[in-house]
Amino acid sequence: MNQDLSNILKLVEEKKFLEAKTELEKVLNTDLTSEEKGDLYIQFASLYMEVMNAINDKYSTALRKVVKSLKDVDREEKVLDERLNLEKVRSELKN
Amino acid sequence: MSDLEKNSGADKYIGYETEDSGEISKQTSREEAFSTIGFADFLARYEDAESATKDSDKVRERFAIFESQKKVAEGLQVLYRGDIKERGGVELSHGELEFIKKSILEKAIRSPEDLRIISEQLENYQKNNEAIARLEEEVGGLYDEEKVADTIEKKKEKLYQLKMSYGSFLWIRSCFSRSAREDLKARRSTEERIEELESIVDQVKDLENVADQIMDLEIADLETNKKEAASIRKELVGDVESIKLLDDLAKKNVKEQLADFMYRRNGEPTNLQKLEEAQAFFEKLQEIDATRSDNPYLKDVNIEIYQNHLNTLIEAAVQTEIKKAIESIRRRGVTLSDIEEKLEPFISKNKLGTKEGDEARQFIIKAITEVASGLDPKDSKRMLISYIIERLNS
Repeated sequence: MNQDLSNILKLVEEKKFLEAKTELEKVLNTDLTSEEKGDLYIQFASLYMEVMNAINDKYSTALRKVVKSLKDVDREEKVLDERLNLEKVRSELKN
Repeated sequence: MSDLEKNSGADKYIGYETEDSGEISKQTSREEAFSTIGFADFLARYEDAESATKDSDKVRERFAIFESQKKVAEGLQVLYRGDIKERGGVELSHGELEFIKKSILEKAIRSPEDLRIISEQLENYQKNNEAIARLEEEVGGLYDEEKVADTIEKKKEKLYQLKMSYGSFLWIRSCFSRSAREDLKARRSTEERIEELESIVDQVKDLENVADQIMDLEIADLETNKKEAASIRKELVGDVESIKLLDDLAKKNVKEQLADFMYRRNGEPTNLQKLEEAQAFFEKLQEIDATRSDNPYLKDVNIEIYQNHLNTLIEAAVQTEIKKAIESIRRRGVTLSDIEEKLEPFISKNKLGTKEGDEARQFIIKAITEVASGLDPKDSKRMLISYIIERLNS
């Protein structure tokens, strides 16, 4: 069963969930007791969470960057507005 | 957290509240633990169940494991019903989800370290999702996809106008438009997933609330009925029955009357209630006789022999009925209150035949102890009874 599980883990790590599901179903279709099935589901969930936790870590980091970059753009836009207004005033004064 | 709680190791299990907001670590006593459905059965699964019952630290630690495994099992079931089903395409039936519950319970007892690892993964997973939801809300609160596109166009226009004078700011436009579109695309699919997951969790919570309400109502009804029945019975025994019995006495021989109280027609002793009535009746007759010089009721009765005999029957009936009461309690999911409810009629007695006060109480405790010692050491009822006895003796 360990070999089957490591195959499933590899597929989950590669985010190939449908293939992981097929492999999981294959394992589940063998003669397993309810306890073995329960254990298998727990291990699968554990692998799933491990992979998703890693993905989610990266995703939250990316989101934080987005939030920061949006704020940066807002700030820069404000600076540009101010400079534009200043240029307009200067131009009017010159004319 | 107190030193005792730190030493118990209870705080290392996820789901066991230890912060200021948590109440369990501060208040959990064996009493509360034993009052939790399923805990006694859980504790009984350990090899050292009987001795552990008396060890507050062990009870506290195992209660933490018990609570944690419940949360983990529930968390994994939610995970399967939501995210794994949606993203992984794996859909488990109700029966299969129950396998998870059983395996987690087994893991909690046999390998609590594995349970702790899964708890941490689950907690990280939940925290990550919550953090992502907050961040996405922050991004969504600033812009939505259409608004962003519109904003980008306006910015482009404005930036173009400024290009000649402020060319160095052009990089902002290109960076912003590319990264924002990609990230917002990702956000939409994640938001949908989270919404669906939340909806499932809400539905489960609703069902649990309804179940709790029904349970509360049933318990309230039982309590009311019990109190009413006890009150009616008190009135009957106190007034109506004694009058009726004294009236009957005039027509019947006293010895026959006592025999009717004490024995059935087949020669077997009657039950405890009937024997206690015999005792009350016997005392009433002695009371009346004491006021009369002719001893009208008990002149032919050897009071000492009758009383000794009655005491023997009452004591035997107490043991039999305690045993029956304990046997009538279900084996699985038994809680402290289940046992207390059954033993309360015995524990509350302050008179048994001629035994009164502490003497009667000690007899009851001894009888309960004897019955409990006949139970299987792995039977959770035995542990709970042992706890009640310990409490009664303290």
